[in-house]
Amino acid sequence: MSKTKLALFGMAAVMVIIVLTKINNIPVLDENVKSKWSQVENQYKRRFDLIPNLVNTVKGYAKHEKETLTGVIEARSKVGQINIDANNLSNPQMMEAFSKAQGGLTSALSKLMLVVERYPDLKANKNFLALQSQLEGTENRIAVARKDYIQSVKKYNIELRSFPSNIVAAIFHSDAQIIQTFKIAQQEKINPQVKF
Amino acid sequence: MKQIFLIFIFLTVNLFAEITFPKLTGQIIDSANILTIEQKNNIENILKNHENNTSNQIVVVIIKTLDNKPIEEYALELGRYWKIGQKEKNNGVILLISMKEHKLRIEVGYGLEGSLTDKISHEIIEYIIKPQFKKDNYYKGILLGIDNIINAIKNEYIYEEKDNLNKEDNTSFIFIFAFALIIIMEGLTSFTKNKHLKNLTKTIVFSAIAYMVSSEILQLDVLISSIISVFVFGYLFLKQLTSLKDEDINQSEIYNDKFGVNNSSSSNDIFSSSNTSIFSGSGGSFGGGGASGSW
Repeated sequence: MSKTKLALFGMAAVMVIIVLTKINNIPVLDENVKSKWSQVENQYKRRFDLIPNLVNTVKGYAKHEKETLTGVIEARSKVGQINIDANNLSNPQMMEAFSKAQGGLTSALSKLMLVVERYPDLKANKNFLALQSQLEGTENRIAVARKDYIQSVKKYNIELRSFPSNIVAAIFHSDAQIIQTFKIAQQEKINPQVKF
Repeated sequence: MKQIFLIFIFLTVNLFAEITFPKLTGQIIDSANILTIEQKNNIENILKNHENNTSNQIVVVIIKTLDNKPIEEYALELGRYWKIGQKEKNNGVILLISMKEHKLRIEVGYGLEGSLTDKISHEIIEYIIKPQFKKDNYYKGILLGIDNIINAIKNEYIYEEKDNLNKEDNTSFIFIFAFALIIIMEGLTSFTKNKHLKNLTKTIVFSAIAYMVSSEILQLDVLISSIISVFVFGYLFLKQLTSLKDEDINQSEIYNDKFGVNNSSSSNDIFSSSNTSIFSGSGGSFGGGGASGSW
């Protein structure tokens, strides 16, 4: 066997190996993105469920803050109307609407937490402090879930776009699409810090 | 020589991926040196005992400074990096204390979020640890803190016989696969008498193994793994082309030697890293549960 034949055979073999190692990547990464997305939704849902309790506690002490409280309730109801199915993650409009609604709730809540500083009685209430710690924990979990989701999407999109996996994906998973990730909205850039 | 060179590539790439966290030397890590050896031993015993009874892993970490990182982020990354907690239970807890910023956090693994809730973590920090820390009673604060943490989580899980295979399921699969490949390769190459074709097949299989090892076990980026694989292939291939000139070398012996040495030593490296330390994380994961505070 001549050297050129040997080299050609070797190159063909390398290509086969590349295809074999990458053929399952798109489905696997896609499932990973979906599970990370459901974690994001879970944590947002957790915050959603926490709000009525929080609002009721604050209401008892801060009667003059009706405007802020209604702001939170309205933002919450907006969030309740938007849900993204895990199979619909490549739709940019849906993702933007979802981000916007959640961002609105985030800023309404951080406004509420600022207002609360003016009420020493409320700040001394153990029940409120516990709720505040739960809200803080939930915001932290949301941040973690979002970060994990963004990372999983990045992995998926890189697989879909970069050489040589893009060729394998185009041949074997032609319906795979770039998945949307969070764009940080203006109001979210200042992270709500719930201070003690 | 070439074996050492190849192993060296694997190891250096692996080292680059390391982040600068303190080393996990035991259940209590005191980088700020605020506890005496006796106190550390005492805490270590309590936590070891608890792990033996429940399989929950609790680690106390005292660091000098967070280097401007939010404590939530630091604790989460630390927990995920060390993989505190059992793999299927995710039952790890980290009590992180940073001396310079006067901040502390209880980071709770997924599996314990139900019993050690944010509310309980917050209360442990606020009403039990903080009053002690304010009086500079760090040892007492930590002791009372872990006591309360243990109280909250002690009934969540009971200890079961550890399944050592679980720890390396992915790894062992790869090695079985690699082994099978070598055997298949031997079978395939027995059809042909052509020595070069034989060696070429071996080269291909070896570069495929290199790819799998680097991407699955060392968890490297796909691109880097591909580069390593191509590099290994190219190296062995060129070696072979040059050896076409001097036929008198006993090639099969060289290859056998190469496979034997490489496989055994690289696998030893990977396994020994998880076996040499007395205490190590068991694959638990974290999702940001817990509470933070400052004193």
